Amino acid sequence: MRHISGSDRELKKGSAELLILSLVSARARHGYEIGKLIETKSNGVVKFSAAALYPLLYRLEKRGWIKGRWVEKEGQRRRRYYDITADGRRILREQRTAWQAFAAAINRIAGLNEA
Amino acid sequence: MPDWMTDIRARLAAARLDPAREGEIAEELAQHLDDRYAELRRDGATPDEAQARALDELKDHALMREQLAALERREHTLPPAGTPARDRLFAGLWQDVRFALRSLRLNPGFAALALTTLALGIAATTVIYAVVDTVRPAHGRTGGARRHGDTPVVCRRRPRREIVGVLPDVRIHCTGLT
Repeated sequence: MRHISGSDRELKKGSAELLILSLVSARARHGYEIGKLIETKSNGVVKFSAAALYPLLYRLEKRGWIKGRWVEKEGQRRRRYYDITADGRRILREQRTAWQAFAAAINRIAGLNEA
Repeated sequence: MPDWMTDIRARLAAARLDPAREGEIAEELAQHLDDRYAELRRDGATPDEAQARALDELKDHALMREQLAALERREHTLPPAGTPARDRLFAGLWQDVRFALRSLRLNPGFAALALTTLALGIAATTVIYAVVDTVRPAHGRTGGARRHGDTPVVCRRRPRREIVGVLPDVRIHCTGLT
């Protein structure tokens, strides 16, 4: 499976917010889990290194779309879990609608459904 | 488990984050590298391989540093809601000055070029004004004595026709002044 890189970076960047919001909308998750889920659910096509993932998470947090909180467990290093906010849910709905329309349009033009 | 903190802090240092914030980010990244390392070890990597591959997660550290610095800077620049407009202006100005000084310190070559350009510009302007001041006729200056035969320089577009200076007996049309 081809891994997205180089010239596909803009595509990846544009979809990153939607991917992260979708994953934390079900339940709170920590950064490593988010990165791992993106990789496994995309069959390895989309990958985010830690250096790329955390600035994204902090940006979404600054915008108030997700909220992080430290969770401590005995005998383990504490972890920061991210949960979606009300604003984040609204943005997620908007982004899902926009991406559906965009993907449908691309499919129609490029004839991807016929392939 | 390796101690990642030294590597992480070295990669974050140039972002010049608030120390408390940098500590939090470093802790979160260290947790991420711990997870990655443990996963690689489970998959059969040797400790050295696992450590090297886990550190690959920070390969794009220059971009990360840049993005984190931009995020934190934006946060500092925006004062809390309800702050008076004057305080907001000066808070932003102070941040800009500090950012400019930091940038100059980090790029000494650029700083030297910028300072040389400024110095040359100021010197050139000073020389031009000095030369003009020297060659300008003394009686043409404002307040100079008016002699018989001098042509008064009058601005036609002023509300009142007034003499703004005098020059020797030459034809002068002052049409561009307001």
